[in-house]
Amino acid sequence: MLRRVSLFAILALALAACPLSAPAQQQFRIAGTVVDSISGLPIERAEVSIAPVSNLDQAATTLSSSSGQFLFAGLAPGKYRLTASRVGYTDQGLDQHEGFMTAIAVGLKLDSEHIRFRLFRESIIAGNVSDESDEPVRNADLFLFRRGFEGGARATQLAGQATTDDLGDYRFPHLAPGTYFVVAHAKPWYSTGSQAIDKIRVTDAAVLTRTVHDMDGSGDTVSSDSDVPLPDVQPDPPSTPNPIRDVVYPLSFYSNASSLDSSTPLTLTSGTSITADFSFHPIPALRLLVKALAVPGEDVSSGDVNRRHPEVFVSPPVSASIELPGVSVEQLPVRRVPQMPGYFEVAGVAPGDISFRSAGRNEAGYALQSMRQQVTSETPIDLSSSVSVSLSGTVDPVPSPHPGMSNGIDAAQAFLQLTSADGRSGYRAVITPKGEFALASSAGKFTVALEPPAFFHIASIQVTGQTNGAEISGHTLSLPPGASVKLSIRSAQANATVSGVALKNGRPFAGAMLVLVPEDSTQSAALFHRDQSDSDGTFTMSPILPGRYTLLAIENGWDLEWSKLSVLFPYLAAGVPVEVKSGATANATAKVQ
Amino acid sequence: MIRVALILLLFFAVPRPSFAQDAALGNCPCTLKGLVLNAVTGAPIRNALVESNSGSPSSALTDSDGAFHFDNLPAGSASLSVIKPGFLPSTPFLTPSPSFRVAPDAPPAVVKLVPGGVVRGHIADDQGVPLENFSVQLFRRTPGSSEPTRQSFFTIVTNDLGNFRIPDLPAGSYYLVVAPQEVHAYRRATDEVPTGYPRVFYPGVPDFSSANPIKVSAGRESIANFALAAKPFVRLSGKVSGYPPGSSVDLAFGRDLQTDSAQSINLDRRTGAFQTDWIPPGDYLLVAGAEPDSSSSQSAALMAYLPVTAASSVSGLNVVLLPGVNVPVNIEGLTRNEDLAQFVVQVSLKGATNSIQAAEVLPKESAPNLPAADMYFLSIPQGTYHIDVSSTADDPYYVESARSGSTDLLASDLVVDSSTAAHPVEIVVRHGPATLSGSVNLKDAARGAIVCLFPEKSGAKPLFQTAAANGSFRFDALPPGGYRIAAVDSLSGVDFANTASLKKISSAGSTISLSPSQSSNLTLDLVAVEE
Repeated sequence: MLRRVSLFAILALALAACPLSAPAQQQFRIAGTVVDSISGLPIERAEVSIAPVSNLDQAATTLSSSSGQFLFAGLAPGKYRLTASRVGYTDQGLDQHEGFMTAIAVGLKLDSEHIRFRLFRESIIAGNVSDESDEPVRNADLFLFRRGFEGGARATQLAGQATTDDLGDYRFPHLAPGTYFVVAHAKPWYSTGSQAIDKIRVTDAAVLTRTVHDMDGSGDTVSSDSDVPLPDVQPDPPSTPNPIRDVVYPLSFYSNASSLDSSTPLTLTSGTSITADFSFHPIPALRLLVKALAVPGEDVSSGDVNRRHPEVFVSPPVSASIELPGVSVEQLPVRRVPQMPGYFEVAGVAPGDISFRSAGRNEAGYALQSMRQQVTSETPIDLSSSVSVSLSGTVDPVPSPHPGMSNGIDAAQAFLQLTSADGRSGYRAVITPKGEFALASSAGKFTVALEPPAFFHIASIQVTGQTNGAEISGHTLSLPPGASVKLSIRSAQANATVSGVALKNGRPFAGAMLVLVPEDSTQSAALFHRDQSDSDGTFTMSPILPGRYTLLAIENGWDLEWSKLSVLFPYLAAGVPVEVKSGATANATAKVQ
Repeated sequence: MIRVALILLLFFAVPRPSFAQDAALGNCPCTLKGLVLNAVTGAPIRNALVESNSGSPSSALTDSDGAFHFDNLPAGSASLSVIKPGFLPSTPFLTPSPSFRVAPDAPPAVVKLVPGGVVRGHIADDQGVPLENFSVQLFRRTPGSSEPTRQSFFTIVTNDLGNFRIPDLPAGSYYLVVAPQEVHAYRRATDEVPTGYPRVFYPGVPDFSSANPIKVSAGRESIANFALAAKPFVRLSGKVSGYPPGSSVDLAFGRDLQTDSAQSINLDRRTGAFQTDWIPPGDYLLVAGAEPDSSSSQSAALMAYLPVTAASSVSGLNVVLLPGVNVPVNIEGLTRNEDLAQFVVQVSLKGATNSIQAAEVLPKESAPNLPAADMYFLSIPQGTYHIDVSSTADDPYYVESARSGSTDLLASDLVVDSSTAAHPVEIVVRHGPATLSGSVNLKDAARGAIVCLFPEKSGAKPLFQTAAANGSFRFDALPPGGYRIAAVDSLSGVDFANTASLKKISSAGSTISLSPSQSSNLTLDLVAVEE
């Protein structure tokens, strides 16, 4: 959607604009040919863009010639990122693997004028979503997942989102070859609390062009892609439930599966088109009573927790949502139940996996609890009952999240995160500026981590005083019911850099996968780092936690499950040991295997 | 602000169960049977949601014959509203739902829904390659004005096939403007003039004044295709003058209709010389501002607006900063002082629809150098402005007069120059506005209507309103007095900016006289207008 900004606002923005300064020497060129990855034939009118790695905002764009050639002249020395797109092809970075690509190094004695940019013919998944009467479902949300690698292990990751139009049609174009899954989510348009009804109601509102002097000037747009600007009011529950309207569509995993694991994989080779249609059938909506995380002596439902402790802000104090890997599908409506303090009602629930979050406190302190549960009936859910452990302690040095980092809750806040072994529940506590934390949790086995993860890591965890039955192994904590445990956590800051060059047969090698393996490779996957060598064979990785590592360069390593020791083991012997010191840059030369 | 008030009203307008029961009307509980039909084709509409203010459950879905029923209703009446995706709502926004008799012998309730129209199209380059991620904005023209309405209907983006679809449109004339969502400047070397796609109005013209409307009928698809050619980009350059040495001067530029972000401009603050980055050809507005010389007694900020039409690069532009003018505004006729806060007085520079500025109410101590007034437009650039007054006061007002010196602002624009500060804008308001509502007899439900209201008071501008899909209309906050009113087919293509056309419509209309606080209801037939 286009943003409308008043010119007065533009004037204000101009204050922040900085003039472009002309670099002193601009004599280098980037040139090459865009070709079809299979046929090798040149591709004309491809949009090719370059941007300096040091400033990705300063992009320049050109169209390839009839022989597929592109040229950027007058460039300052440095590294540039190349991307290309063309109707009928995937949008790609040069030699792209996951988020990595080969940057082109430009400068004296560097060849940057013979690039072969191979584009894959796009594949498309498209389809139609219809309802129980075979009518189109508008504004259905489609989620595309791709089987790939995450953290060095096979994982199914979110690869795109789409919405159906008024005919119920959706498209996922520009897909690279791979294995995909599609999930659809919609609400019956006529169901209670449906936004579709509000949208239809205000259709005519836009017609009310008032007068010649229509100076409302709000500039509001009744836009097809945004929510209709209506107040956020939880509707009163209907006095008599209406079975026609109190219905939901369960999440639909193509085709007609009930989970991502059981859904049909769509395997796309280069240039294929697959149709994936969905048909929704309504089922009665469930209403769930949820008891908030216990807060002795404090009324959770009053909102006191939020007011006094904005650091664990959740509103309302209980929230429930439908989640898929990496994406929140729908926030379910939550309403207080005045007759039952501490309880909340979640409406419009379809049977399936629901994620709950609750803020609360016991004597130990405030915490944010999250729990994923398979909901099959209207059995009330008690988030408070299992919480019996008091955990407190200190983190030293105090982690201060990097400025500009966003962890989704508060960019200026560091947290201690406990995650259960099955990943279905977790607790999160604030680390105060003095490095203290206190939280209430259930008994069980948890991995402990600092959030946000990029810049601070846990070096060690120790129990201070009585263990009270708690056990620590590495970053894993076992807590018996009713225990009160004090921890002393040593943290370390990732502030170092590893850079160097990948060589094959003594010559710089582009496009190799570099893996920095921590000495104690049983440590968390967050300590592993990867990069792709650029056109001159060089690479830079940061921020790195100081310590001892082994650096590997692998030629065709992008399909390796590198987080598994057994997979990496054959490569370790030919790796390069690297010692990384706090705040320093370690240089290393890696032999490509 | 008006809008906020309307949305609150919506919630009060939600039907509430009525417990009124009149035993004399017949032996009930009764069943209210009904039918939902397509207003254009007459075909039944299945799976439409019918909501009633009476009965339990209070909503029903129609069956495959378009039929519905509500059982166990008390005798009397029930109001029904019907909605269905793809159709305009049976009850226009903020209007009461029609009621139907509930009695043993009551006839079936028939509700007709008008299907929405669709504008769809295809955008490709001059070689037929589809253009993806182009934004398509659909809007209407304010009747009687040469400018687009500020409320755009929809913004949508082309898909990978270069296609777009805009559904659910009420019948009428629409304009389309397309532009790349992200402006790409294609070039091979930094010293080359880049090319790219400029903003284009349907049917492929660079400016709104030469754009053609697309006519949309209910339930029909109208097609608008574009073949776009990349054009050489342009640069605007020139000099900003009129600011004291050492003053911090700023310069920005934007577009009147689609101002999406500030674009880069290079300004040498020492000499005032400026040059923009390469930008697509088109209409732009340069806006400059500077702090006044601190040593002088002059305190208003220095401002300048300069509209530029750039089909190719333009150099030698002179942006002359002049002291912004503080215009005092007085509102007379308020019965309660606190009502002042409910008034919004706004100006926008002619030809620059985004330049809206509202008058501010200032406490005396913060405006020691200003003449006493109810509110002020502060530091507005010199130029010609539209002015608008609106109010959200509970006890409604209408504007009886608005003057600046000898200028009647209800008939003419406000010219702001260095002498304006001496002439406050004097607005006289009164309680008891009249309301005129009603409906138009639509001969063809697919075509829609525009209602034209001509005040008999000399100099007063006509008012226009697009009737809702069912033909209903409503004018609020009208000054009492005599009016002529007429409804015309919304697809007739009449030019509301043409005085002769307006005269013809006016003389074909009927006369009505409204007294203070009067609510009048009218049924209008369409008047014939040949074009």
